Amino acid sequence: MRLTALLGIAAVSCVVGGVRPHYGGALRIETRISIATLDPAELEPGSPAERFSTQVFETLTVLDEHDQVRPWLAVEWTHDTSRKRWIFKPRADVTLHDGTPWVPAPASLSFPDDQPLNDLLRSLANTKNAIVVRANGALLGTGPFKIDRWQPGKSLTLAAHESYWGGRPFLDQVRITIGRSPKEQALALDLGQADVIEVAPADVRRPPPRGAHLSVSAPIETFALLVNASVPVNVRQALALAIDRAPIHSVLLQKQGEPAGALIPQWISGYAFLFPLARDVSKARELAGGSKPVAFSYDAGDPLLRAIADRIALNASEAGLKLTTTGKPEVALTRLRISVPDFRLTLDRAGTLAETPLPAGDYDAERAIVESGRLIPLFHLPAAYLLGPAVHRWAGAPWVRSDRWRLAEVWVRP
Amino acid sequence: MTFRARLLLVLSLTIAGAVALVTGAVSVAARASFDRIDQARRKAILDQFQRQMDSRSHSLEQTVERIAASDAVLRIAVEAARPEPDYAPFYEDAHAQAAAQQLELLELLQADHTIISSAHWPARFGYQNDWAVADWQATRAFLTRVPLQQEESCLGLAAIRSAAAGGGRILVVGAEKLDSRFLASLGVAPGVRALLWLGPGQAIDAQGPVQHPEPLAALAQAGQRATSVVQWTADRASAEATFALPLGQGAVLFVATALREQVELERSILYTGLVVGAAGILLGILIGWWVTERVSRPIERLASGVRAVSAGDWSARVEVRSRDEIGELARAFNQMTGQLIEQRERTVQAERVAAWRELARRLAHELKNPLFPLQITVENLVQARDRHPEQFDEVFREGTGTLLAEIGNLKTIIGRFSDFSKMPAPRFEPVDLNRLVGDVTKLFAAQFESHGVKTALNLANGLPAIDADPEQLGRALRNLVLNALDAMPEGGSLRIHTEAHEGGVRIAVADSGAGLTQEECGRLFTPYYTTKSHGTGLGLAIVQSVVSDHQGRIAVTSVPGEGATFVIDLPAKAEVS
Repeated sequence: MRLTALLGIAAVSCVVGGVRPHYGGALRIETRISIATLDPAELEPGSPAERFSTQVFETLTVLDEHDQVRPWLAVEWTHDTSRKRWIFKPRADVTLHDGTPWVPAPASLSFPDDQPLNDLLRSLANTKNAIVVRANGALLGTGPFKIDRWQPGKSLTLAAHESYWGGRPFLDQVRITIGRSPKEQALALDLGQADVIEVAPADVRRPPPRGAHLSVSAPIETFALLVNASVPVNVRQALALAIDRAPIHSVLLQKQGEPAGALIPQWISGYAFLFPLARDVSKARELAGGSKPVAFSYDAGDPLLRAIADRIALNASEAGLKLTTTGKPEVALTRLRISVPDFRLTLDRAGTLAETPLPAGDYDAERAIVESGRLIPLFHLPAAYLLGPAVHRWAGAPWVRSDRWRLAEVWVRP
Repeated sequence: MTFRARLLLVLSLTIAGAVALVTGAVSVAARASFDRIDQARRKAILDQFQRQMDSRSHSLEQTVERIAASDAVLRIAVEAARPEPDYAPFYEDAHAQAAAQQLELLELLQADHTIISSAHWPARFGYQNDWAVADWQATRAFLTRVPLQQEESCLGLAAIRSAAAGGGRILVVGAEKLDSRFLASLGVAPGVRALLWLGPGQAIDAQGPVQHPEPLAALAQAGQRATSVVQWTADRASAEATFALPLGQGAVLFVATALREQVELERSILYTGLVVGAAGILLGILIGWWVTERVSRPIERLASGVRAVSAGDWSARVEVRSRDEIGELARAFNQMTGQLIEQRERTVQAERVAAWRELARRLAHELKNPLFPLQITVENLVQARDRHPEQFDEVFREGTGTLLAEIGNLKTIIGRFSDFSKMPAPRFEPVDLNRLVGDVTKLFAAQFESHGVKTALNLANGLPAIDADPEQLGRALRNLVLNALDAMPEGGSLRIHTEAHEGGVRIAVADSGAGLTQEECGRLFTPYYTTKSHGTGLGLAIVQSVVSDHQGRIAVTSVPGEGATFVIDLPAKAEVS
């Protein structure tokens, strides 16, 4: 009986030991995006590069999965009675990537009277407000990883921050190869040369290679048509009505994501269902009558965008609209990454793209953009990754839903 | 047209015509030869085209059958058997199958012809296939027009097969483009090309799209087998003999044979013909020149001689260089002119003799009249001396008086002859002819009255003054008036008429005398000729001499019994020689 109990304890210990995090090793990530900078001040809100920048630079506050403000580099904050003067207390044991303690100079921030408390703290959670120490041209952060090697346009290597205040990350290195095509990424995963690759929505339903597993976020990207101001309003409306989103969603996107009439997905904004997305070819034909051909552009290197663009051109031709790929582009198929959970940043950026003044409310702002016809939402798509068999603590992690990576929690089995 | 010009023209036309005839004949023969070659080439290409079509049709049918029997397609057929089939996962299958089978155009269709997957136009999924609808039941490959992206379409050879599995059924439609590669595979001979008319403004050949295929449009739209020459540019060498073979679906196969070689050969023949023709014409000119030198020039010399003879130069001679007919003619001409001169000399001699005889007769007549009284007077003086001496003095006085009178007559006669021989040159000055006529008629007024002659003057007003010697012209008029008075011994009427005539003046003197015969009119101005019993026959000769010295003309018309009319034409300005 005792022996049996000991064997049982030993077996449980083995199982537990098999999934215990392992320190060391490198996580190899391949991506087709091009990273020009990691400087938070220069990044567009929602930029794919934020996924890497947030590993290096941290903010005073963060928003949790429930969109609630949590302390991060600032452990507590006080303000005067008028809430104009704020005092943040920094975390005590934080060191910069060069090993020096992070001791910010005593300072206070002043804000207008009507600044809501929550807005201020949420704003401090934005990547662009991350703490960056600029020393001799180098950017020093406090994040779990520091920049080890940086070959712009080719690769980025992050090394573990040994004295990270939250504890040393499991990974020694994160090696990111930039500008890799989907085929190259798939080949690298098959050959065991990559641990994390991007997967197009059309490929999500395909069975993953042996040992690999899929990680799909909630929809965090919007495919939309950006229409030039030179395109008449009736043509913009005709184009929006001509597109049949359902077949594209079911076939080209393999039912990934969702057809979109709004810029921000329903799970983020909560009001996306208020934006119609029904197709009306006869009305579109009526609006487009006698219109001139419209120059259409898209990233021809992205097979998914190309397939969607071809289908949109086919839909438009049914409505009497001719989309050509020659001439100065007037309509562009673009991908708009949603800043989660602070999607207002995305709306502001969309307003800038659409050259549309935005009212204060999020819904009103989004409606103003959509009704201008300058930005026609098409689909909301998730981010999907194929993970190699050695990757742990990625799939199923809470941050996967918003695609905000926290690589400090990831470890790889040697 | 001169003989020389005619001869040159005939020679040139003959040579040019001959060259043109030869050139045309050679061109026609060359064209016929090219046509035969063209027909042979065309037949070879059409045969090759048919073989290629048969071969490709067979190959395509097998390819589509393989695809229809593939596991991937059968899986879709199985999915089709489900109550709510989901074709989304098969969206790219057509592309994969087409790539595996090296097929350009492929679509997988639901039983209701809805596109499941399209290899050549992936975005068409969910739409109805509209390019193979008419031939669903076809077991053999067929031609059709396949729509492509960007509002384009292509002509394709298509085949349809059905794939069934698990109770489900789908259709596989595969097609091959009939494009430039297909045309290149026909392996046409140099100088020949195959073109494919795909539709208005769309045509291809083995090299790719044909730029500006409009010249083919009329032949393509005829819709039947036909041959025509298609010229692509303004240069005739760009022309092609083009045979059209309609294939259906608005497509037409053209077999075009370049006419460059033929055109260049025809041009070469034409240029050679032109050069030979020009050389021939030049040769014709040289030959013509040589011939005319031999033929025409002697004729011209002969004509020149004839003109000289007609102008009075009877001494004209034609040079004789040949012994042919022309030379014979020239010798005859020279002989003729020689005989004319001899004839004229004989005539002149005869006339001279006749004139001398007439002169002798006149002189004898004129001298005989005074000599007879002289003889009688002298004989009377002799008889009176011998028989009646007492009356001799009286007879002597009377006789000497008679003698002196007759001697005076002799002197007068001699003086007239002397005057005629000594006609002085006229001294021209402006003369009013009407006034001169008036002076003359006044001079003879007494004689008109004594002879019972009535005068009628019809003088034109404003008659221009003429250059004339008034003395000589007055003398001529006086002679004419005297001649008229002599013609009217019993009285009559004398009409004098003046008028402007041909830049000069005309004066007509008409009498109502007995008139003259035609022969008398012809000889009237001959010196010493007279129709009167008295007179020297010099009066009218002097008139003619004066008129001639004034560069004028004199003529006489007469009807016997009705008088005679002398007409004198004088120029306004006499040329002093």
